[in-house]
Amino acid sequence: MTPLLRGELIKTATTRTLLGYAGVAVVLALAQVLLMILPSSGELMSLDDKRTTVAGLPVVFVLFGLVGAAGEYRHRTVAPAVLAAGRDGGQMLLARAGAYAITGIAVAAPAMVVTLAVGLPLLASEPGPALGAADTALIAGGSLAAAALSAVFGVALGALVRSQVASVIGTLVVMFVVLPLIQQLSIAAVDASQFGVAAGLAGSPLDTFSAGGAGLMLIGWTLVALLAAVVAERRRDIA
Amino acid sequence: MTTQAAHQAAITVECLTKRYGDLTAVDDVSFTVRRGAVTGFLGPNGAGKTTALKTIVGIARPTSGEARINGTPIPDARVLGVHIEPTGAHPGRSAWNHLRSLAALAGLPAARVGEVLEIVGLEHAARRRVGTFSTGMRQRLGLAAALLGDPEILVLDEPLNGLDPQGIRWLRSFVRDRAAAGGTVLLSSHVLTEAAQTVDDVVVIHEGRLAYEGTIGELTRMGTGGVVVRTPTPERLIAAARGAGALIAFQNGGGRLLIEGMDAAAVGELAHGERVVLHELAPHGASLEQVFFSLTREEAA
Repeated sequence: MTPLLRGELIKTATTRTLLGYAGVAVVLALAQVLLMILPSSGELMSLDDKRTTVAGLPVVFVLFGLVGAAGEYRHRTVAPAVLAAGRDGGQMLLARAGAYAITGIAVAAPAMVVTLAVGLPLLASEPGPALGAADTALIAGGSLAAAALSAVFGVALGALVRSQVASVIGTLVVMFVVLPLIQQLSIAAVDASQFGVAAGLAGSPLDTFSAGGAGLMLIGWTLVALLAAVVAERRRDIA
Repeated sequence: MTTQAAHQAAITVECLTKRYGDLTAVDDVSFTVRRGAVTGFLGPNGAGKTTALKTIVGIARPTSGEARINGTPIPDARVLGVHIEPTGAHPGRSAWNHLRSLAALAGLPAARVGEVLEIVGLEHAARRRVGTFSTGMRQRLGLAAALLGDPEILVLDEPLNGLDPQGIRWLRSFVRDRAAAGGTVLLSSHVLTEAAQTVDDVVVIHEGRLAYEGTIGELTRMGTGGVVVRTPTPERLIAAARGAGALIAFQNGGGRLLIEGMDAAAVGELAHGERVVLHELAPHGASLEQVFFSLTREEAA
């Protein structure tokens, strides 16, 4: 592990934010499973419904990376890190993105365990096709990968916007206002958005992309955002 | 700058300019910081000190010009230690973890964290969250971060702010000891008299421009001076001195005056000619603050 990555990992893991997100991720995962199964318990569930029930929630990790990265500017912790490392802001951002990818997986893992531990027995008793081991493994692996990539995407957004409030509000507006409006016009466009392909990789079936296709699209979204953030970081003042 | 000066300089600043839109925060500033010396970077509030320091250490991009530290634009923590307000520690993170992360980023062993906390006297608060720290403790934490790599060059922005008298005394002796051991310190302050007890050299900026660069001794000698007199009949002497073109800088109880614009001999002769009895007659050096104000006034004019 490089010194930059180790330093950024220590930063990420030594505030209560990490535990807070881990708790939120577990609660949301549990809520998703119970709300998807209990209200219509006993009714026929398709395989896609069952997949959606235990799919990951990658948007949580966009917010995790975004709040963490923008928080670096709010608390002015970027400058001491750059000065200690003797590297430019772009290199530091890449290390931060790596740290959030790792901690994103660490936060997603307990949520996934809870999802599967609660969801699989409940789904097994629901009518409809059974969720196989391969499906389950694909969803679990896809959810963890989507969490990591979404956290990196969030870090890039946070570094570009640099304001926690503006970036969180902007993300929520896109999620709850812009994308639903676009969905009225084109489901494919929503599927192709970062939120769409992240959900697709995490196990929610999409009309437009397979899980693999969604994964490739998500990698593309992440790389473009990260590249833009690194370029911006190299051009702007650190403090 | 001579070749010898360039060889000796720990920090070289050349034609540094930093603009934010229409605002020019630092305007074509050039100076050098001598190796093995403590240099005060002085100016009133809003003079552009912090912006200049940020640009010098590489966390703000210059609009034009450049700063080099040991000949390189981005040195690491082993070469350059920086404390620029605010401390830059997450309020929810402990002092220990804050420094541990910086040590890791610099590739330094975690054991160094305990050493620097002990140096700055914060070992008792190592596990406390930074959000609970007083201003003085944050200053010490910032200094601890700057010291992690045991750097040969320290850049400290207003390091005396928020420190109690013991802390100020400790910091002064610490900085002097660093210089005595061959280290270089550039420290900013908006209070000249505070820094004067610590620094060897002085760089004064005002409204973003360089107002003075030299030794503290030269700066002290720049004072216009004056003459302190005490007389039981100050009114007669004031009238005569004003008639001779002098300024009466102050008058307080007991007939004590500061006469500016005349030397002691001229004041003595004037008093003799006016048959004014003098109980005290002594040259008076201008205070550093007066020199500082005159420098910044001239630059502002």
